[in-house]
Amino acid sequence: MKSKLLFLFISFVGGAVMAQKADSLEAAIVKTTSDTTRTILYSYLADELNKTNPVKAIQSGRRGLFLAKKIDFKKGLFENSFSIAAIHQGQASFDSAIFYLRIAGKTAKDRMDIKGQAEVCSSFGHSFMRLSRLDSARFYLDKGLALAKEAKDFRIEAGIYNNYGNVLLEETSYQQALDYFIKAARLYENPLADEYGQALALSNIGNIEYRLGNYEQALAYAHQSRNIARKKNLTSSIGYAYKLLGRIYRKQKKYDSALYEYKQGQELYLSLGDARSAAEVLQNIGNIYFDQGKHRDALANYLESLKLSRKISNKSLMAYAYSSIGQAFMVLARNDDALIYLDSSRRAAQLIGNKYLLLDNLDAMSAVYEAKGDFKKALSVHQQFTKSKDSVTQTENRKLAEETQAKYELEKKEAHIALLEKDHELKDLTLARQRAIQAGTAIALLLVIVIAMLLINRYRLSNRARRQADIERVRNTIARDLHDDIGSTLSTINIISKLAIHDNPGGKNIHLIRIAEQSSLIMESMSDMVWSINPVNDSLEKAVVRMKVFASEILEPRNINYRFTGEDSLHGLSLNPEQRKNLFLIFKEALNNAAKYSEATDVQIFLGLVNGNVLLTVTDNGKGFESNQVKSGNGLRNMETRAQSMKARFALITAPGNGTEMSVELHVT
Amino acid sequence: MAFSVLLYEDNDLLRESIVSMVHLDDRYTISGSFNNVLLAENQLSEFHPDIVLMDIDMPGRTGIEAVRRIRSIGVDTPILMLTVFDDTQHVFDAICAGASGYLLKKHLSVRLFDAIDEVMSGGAPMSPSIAHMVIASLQKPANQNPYQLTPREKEVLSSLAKGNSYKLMAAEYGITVDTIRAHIKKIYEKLQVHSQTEAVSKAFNEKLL
Repeated sequence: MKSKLLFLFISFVGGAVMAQKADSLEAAIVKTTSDTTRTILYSYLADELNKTNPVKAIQSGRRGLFLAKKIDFKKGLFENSFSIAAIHQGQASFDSAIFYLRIAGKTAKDRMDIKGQAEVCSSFGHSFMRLSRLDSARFYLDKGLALAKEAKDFRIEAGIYNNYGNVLLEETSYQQALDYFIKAARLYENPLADEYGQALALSNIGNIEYRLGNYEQALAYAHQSRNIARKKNLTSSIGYAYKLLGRIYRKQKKYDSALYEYKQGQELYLSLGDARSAAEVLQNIGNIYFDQGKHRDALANYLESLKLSRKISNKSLMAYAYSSIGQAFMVLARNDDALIYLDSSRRAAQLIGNKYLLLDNLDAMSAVYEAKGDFKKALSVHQQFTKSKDSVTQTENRKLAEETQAKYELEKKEAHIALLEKDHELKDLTLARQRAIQAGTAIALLLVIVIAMLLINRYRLSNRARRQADIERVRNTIARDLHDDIGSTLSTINIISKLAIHDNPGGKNIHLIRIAEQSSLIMESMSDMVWSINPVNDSLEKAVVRMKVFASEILEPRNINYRFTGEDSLHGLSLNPEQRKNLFLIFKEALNNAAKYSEATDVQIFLGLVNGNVLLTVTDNGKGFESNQVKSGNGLRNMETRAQSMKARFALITAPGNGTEMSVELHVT
Repeated sequence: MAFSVLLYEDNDLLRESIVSMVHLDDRYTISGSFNNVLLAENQLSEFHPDIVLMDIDMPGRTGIEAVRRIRSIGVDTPILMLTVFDDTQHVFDAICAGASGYLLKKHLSVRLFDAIDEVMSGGAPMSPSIAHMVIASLQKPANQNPYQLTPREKEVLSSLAKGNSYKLMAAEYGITVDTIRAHIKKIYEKLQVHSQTEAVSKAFNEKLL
């Protein structure tokens, strides 16, 4: 992220302002009172100066690192060591870069910073690749890829794909390399929507086509990359495209075009203050002139490159520049000058451990001595060349052995990691099982509680039912006892009043007669009440029986004919105690009226089910009456009230001389 | 010679009233009256009444239990049950235990003598509710018609259970009210025979043992 911000900054503001930015950062470092801020600012400054002044950049990074160590500030430690490693990578000092990457990697791990670890792994991969230690590079890139995915950081992931592509490129596995670059390109396009990355990926693809010898395609990709980069003013991508185009044109022997592209690149890098890239491009320009046989022009460019390389103390570039200059002088037959530069290059190559460059130089030097006629020197240098070559081979062999050893260590490590992972999985499994047991226990507990609640509820319900039954039984017992007691007492009163009448024949017994009547009535109505509350009498059929008994008691002594109809349709129907009582009392009242007042000789009684309603009609052939006049008396209003209280329809049809018809219609569900 | 009546009634006032009432009619004399039935068997052997009036609900021992005990020692004196309730199991149980008939207390002042006469002359008043219970016990599937009722007796019973009066039934079947009464009496007798204690008493009566 830091590098990206920095990059944007460079692209928009340019080299001139960059120096200002470095100045303001330095000022901020002096001004700040917080050591933690200061360490971070040091790493910013190191990043800032990476390309323009690497020596100062490394100095800044080291200060930051020192301070971070002193105050034990892990983040500072990480940022500065990572910055220093980046600078060393720019300087092609990959061993040093790896040293600082190890510090950064350890710190990131301590901080549990997965993203940081992924970044470090990516850089490790790049460094090892440049050291031609491809297996180590692969190891770190694989690790980095896993970490980047874990951190869900697509930018790092895409960067790693790019690095992986480069590793494969080194192995000349172009097809696979292409796959990785395409993967990177896809990520940059979506979800990152990053033109920089796209441009980079396109130029990488172009590079592969170039390697494969498909120059036209390579050119197409390079142009595409440059167009995207130009549109967004992505200077470093534009520069890379120039370099790629130059390289392709050179290969096609289109030297003018190549020179044109390289010179544009050169201008760009100079304006950016990127001395390292500028020096590189200058060498390439020199090489083209060299190819064209314009050795003086080549020499001029090589010298310019050397100047820039010295300025930024880039040993690697310096070594190459020395070598190129030496070769140019050799072709120009300035043998002494050639020897000076070739020897300088030799020493530099030895210093930075670039064996191949060393061999080149020794070979060239031997040729120069031979051209000078100094065969003794030529032979001695040639012997050195042969020895070095052997040592290179040996070194290569040793490197191979080391690599194999490293591979073995790696495998061991991986096995260990796998073991740890297995252990982890096992732990997870145990944990999962424990969790399952816990969940099971919880569910079981819940179930027990639910069942207990259900049982309690059931118990309470049955208890309530039992209590209800108890209450009912007690009530029935009380009602029964009361009835028995009061019934017996009323009978006594009834008998005594009759006895009194008997003892006083011919006297005024009107009060005694009333007592006898009233006690009889009360006994009757009490009997009705007890009958209606007794659940045994729920069914309408039982009500009909009682009605018939009453009808026989009241009508037969008066010699009134009567008939009951409709009862067969009532089978299975039942009424609640309230309805039962009301219906029966209405019936009694109607029959009483018919028997006592109507002077009827015939009574027809219908009780049955009609259209889902219980219909009761009592019809007599008596004298009838004027319904308006007699309404208040004879219990007619009583009947109507009872009908209303059970929401039944009540009707009375009568007229003087036409008999009476009483009907009650009760809705039952 | 007047009929002697033995009376069991726990309500003192009612018992005294009934005694006074019976004294009014020369045809009956009270040979004894008690407020419990604990010594009923002994009292029956001692007084030799022509008829017993017995309240169903009494403390200590119920009238039903007393009837069962009296019948079990082979005494077949007619027993008329007195009760306030006209639609209970108790009346039916009493009939099954060997009671000859029953009278509701609310009708005491009007119908006592008629009821006594009816029982003495071999009749047995039965209300529709009691008829219902008899039919219900007849319909038990395990033992169909255990009382060996004739078809006519069954007809009378079911008609009675529907609440039809003796008069209505007589009109319906074209027979006299007395014939209806005879059928009902037969039904009562068959019921008595069926009870186990009654069988014993019957065996006693018929000197089978």
